[in-house]
Amino acid sequence: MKKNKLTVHILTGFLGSGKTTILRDFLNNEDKEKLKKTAIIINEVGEIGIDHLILDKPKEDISILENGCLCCETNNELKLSLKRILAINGSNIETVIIETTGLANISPIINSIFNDRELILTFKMGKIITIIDTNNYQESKLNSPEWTNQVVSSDQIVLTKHEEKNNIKINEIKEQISKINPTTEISLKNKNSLSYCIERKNQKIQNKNQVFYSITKDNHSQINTVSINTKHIDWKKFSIWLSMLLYKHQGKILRIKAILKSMNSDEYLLFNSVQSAVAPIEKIERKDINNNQLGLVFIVKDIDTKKITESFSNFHISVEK
Amino acid sequence: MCGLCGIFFESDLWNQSPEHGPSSSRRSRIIQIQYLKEILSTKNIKINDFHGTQYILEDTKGNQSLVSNLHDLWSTVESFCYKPIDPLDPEIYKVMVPLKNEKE
Repeated sequence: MKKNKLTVHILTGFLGSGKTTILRDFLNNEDKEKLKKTAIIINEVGEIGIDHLILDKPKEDISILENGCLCCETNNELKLSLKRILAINGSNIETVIIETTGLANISPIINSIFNDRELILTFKMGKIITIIDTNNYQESKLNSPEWTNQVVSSDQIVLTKHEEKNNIKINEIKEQISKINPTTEISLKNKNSLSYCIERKNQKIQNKNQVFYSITKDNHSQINTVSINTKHIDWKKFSIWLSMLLYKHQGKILRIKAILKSMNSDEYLLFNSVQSAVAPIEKIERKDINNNQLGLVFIVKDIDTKKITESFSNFHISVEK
Repeated sequence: MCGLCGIFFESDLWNQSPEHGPSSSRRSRIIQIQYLKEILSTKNIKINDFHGTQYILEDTKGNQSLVSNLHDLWSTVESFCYKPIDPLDPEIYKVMVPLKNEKE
């Protein structure tokens, strides 16, 4: 019998944003049966891990990757940890949650999982959940490129330390985040935040009209968003075009999310990339989306978005079936 | 690995095809290489299939290279041309033509 792939969720957020608190709430409040099927990998920059000491989960279910950041120094250790999960608890574990350091870049983490021949057969991409501290929002946004990367990469955003903020301020922050990443969904922290984010179907993707018909925006410094509507696509042209685009403009294409249909198939396909890291294509059920509108959303930096639209059109990727 | 000739081939996220239509994977590859020929003709680079698993690239100076996926292909093209090929450049996409009511 073919075994289902394990889902890997990535929990990220800038230093001090509240990642460990959210993870601890998850471990304290989640259904015990579900917890048995969940493995956790915690990455800490320092030589001695602290985060895992404040979590209550039995130690054997938590892997600690210390002394270096996942996206650079401990990349191989991440692969080993995932393989260890397969070896020890392969029959039970269904979900893996990776808590990154506050400075992590998501793209190399995805690359290291999905460019590994063994791991790509066993794991599939889950949610990228970014925690944002509303107190340090402006400062992080202005001064930390890592923060911007994490926001752009996210599928779900959780705002923490919001209790003392009024609704107007919170809405302002939500609006600013939506301008940077229109595909992400934003919620306020509560004790079930992590399970909520993991289980939630991405409404922004389901409600595609809202995203794909949005106007090209010039917002957060040089970060722009562009949406392209498509018919069915010529998959061979699309893969050539996109691989060339990601190669030439690596570092400038921050995020691509798309719901597509190949001209030779009736299946809906979810395409997801973070910088140059492309996650395996996921087939999604028709019932999981509200309408049959197809399209792509690009979040880019320092690229004229009109050129992307023109190039996509002139490559004749979108075709009538 | 090919059982007959012993050639290793790499899995490539770009070549994962979602299609289960009438076209065989062999035919898909021929069409893909045809598109690549059109694009690389703008840089005077020839491309051909190699054992259905790799691409062989050749420039006008006689440089040849064997690559196994699209990422490596663009990297080799960059080494031949001394700069990466840009899909946003109108000179590149002007060679692409729409499908003429042709289903694969």
